[in-house]
Amino acid sequence: MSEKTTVLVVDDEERFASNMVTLLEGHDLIAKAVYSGEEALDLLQREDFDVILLDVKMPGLSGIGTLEKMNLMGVDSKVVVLTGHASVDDAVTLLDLGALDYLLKPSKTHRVLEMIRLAKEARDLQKQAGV
Amino acid sequence: MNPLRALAFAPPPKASLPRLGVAALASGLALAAAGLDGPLALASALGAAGAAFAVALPRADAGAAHGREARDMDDLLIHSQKMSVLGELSSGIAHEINTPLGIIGQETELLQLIASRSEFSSLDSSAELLERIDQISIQVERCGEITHQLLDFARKTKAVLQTVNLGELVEDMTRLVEREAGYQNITITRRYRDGKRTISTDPSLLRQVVLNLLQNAVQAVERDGMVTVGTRISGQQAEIEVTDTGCGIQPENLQRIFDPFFTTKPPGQGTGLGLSICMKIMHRLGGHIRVRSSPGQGAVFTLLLPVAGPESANTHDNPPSAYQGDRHE
Repeated sequence: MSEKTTVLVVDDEERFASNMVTLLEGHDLIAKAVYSGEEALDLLQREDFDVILLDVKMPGLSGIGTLEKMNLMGVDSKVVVLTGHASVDDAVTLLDLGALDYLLKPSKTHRVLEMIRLAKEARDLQKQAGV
Repeated sequence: MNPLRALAFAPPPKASLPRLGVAALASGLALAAAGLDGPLALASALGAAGAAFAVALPRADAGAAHGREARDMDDLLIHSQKMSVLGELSSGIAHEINTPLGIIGQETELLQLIASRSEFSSLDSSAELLERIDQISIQVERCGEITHQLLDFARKTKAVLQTVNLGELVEDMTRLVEREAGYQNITITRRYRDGKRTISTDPSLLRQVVLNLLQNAVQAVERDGMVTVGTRISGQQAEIEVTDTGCGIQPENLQRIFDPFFTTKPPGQGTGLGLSICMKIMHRLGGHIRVRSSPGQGAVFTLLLPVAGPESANTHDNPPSAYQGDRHE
């Protein structure tokens, strides 16, 4: 479990997503950005990530739609929702779909990093348990 | 900021709301009357909309033919319509602002990283540079707290009734809070009685209140403390009870905790709006909130709701001016 944590940032706001990649790489993580749910699903067919930072409101597939499709594909990455759109109803739906937690923008990077760390731990435990 | 707190009723620093639209929304005053000399364009936008809407509505107190009761009802109607329009508007604005705010926050953090590099730290002005970048970061956080608070007010104000499973609704919110509580080793105990029974209520509004009470309870207890959440239905009344083992509420504060802007938290850590909003929502749902507490003995907040929905409750017995909780010491 010593390898670097891999993170996929899914956000239609390109500057936000690319900045997040820069910030995460600055903290020794491996990060990639995609700018839509569709792109995320496409990439996830070829590549595995420990953690996915998922926006909710995106043109095309929303965060909820993306997570539903990821579940159908059997993607076992841990999903942390990162959105400017606070809604308890969305939060409940996303957590029901298996998202690990829900962060609101603007969110400090240390907060995002802490959530990624917890998500990675959860994924490692899951792998160890062979689930 | 604690994200769940933001989902409930995010507490922006009191000082960060220079008689802003938020204050007017919370206290139910017309925005136009709140003084819109605050620095934020957001406040101006909201204020303009509020003023325009106030003009468009007939003034309830214009005719002497109205009795006092009719006037009160008219005021209430106008108020609720205003809240509804302003709610939608502020929701849209807050949602849209959070993303650019997020980017400004990121750019600031990246600037901090660049400025802390050695070639900059040797400059005479590097301390000032860093201090100024820190200020941007602080102010971004402050803006975020404001937009999160606006989102709270943006919740629709008209209750849309649905048949709701009482236990499920409470459990959904408990699960949300449990994640956060777990990090501090706080235990949440469930005592759901009649949890499978359904009630007629607005689930979104009720969720807000339950989440807020649970958040307060988790905040009130120290590390390793305990929060208990229970449900039951007796006769035509549903009860949701949140108990904590925290420091309790001083008797002199007990009467004031539902007052808008009343807070015992240090400046910048709470607006004192959460419980006042909870009480308003509960009135809208035809119910109310009861609180019992003694200093050092924790607190018990009980939500009381009519099983058959707000229409079945005699709302005249609960005039909105009586936003005080029942005291049971």
